[in-house]
Amino acid sequence: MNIPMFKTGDKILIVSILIIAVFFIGWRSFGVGRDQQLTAVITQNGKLLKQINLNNLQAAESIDINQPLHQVILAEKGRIRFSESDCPNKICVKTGWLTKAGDRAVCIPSKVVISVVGQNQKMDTVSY
Amino acid sequence: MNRNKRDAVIIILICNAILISLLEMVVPVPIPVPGVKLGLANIITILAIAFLDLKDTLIIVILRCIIVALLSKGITVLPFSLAGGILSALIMWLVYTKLPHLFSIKGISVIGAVAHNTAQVTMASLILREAVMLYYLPMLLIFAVVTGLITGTISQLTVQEINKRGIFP
Repeated sequence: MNIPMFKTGDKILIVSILIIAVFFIGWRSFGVGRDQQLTAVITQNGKLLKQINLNNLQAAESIDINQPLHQVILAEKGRIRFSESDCPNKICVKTGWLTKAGDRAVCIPSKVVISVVGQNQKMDTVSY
Repeated sequence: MNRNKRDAVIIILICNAILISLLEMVVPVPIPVPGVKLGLANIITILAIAFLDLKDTLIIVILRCIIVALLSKGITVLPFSLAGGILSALIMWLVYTKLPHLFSIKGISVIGAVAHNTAQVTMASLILREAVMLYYLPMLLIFAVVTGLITGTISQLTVQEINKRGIFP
């Protein structure tokens, strides 16, 4: 069994994709500062459902969403997550806790997005 | 290849693509990034591109997406798999027919995986009406290179073996 070698185009392609991806990941995490006000923004269908300041949260707060399927979002001091969902893949629940600015959890079936934004960071999600 | 043989080959490839896709769901991926999978059905798409024409390839991709969606996650995932499947098939076909001197099947498979992920993330952004999903793209691109290389290597060996045995004249 002999596996043929890479051609020139293959190598250039693979290296450039990796460089681009690493550059973007690095750029994103570099721009995020620590010790800032964290706000969780919950949207559905692009419309704002609720905005929670995670730093000032004293007791845990849960948000129920019943349309179009049942979901529970759990917010605690400094973190937020989807804790229950009736969607088929449960990717939103598996994403786990969101703890820093820039973190996001997305549920495609219900079109609900939780994004955590920092104080010095405007909601310019478009720039990603 | 006469028409009957071609039809039989199309049906065999569709059935294999469906089976591979379903089997893939049973195997857990040990990577904590949502949405990452090996994309083994890509192997079938590459075989179709290598031995059949564009129309047959698209038939295989579209039927596979519809049947797998119906059998597994339901109709909600159909726009995603169709967008990814069709775009990656088109781009891989273009590269295979126009630039074979530059890219081997491994490279074509990586291009297909990248196109697939890009299409799915774009589709998700359109459905959510927010560019939020583009945030996942860099991470998905890294995995696309890895999974593309794995499926590409399997495809390349399969194409070689089929050529060696002269199954498709």
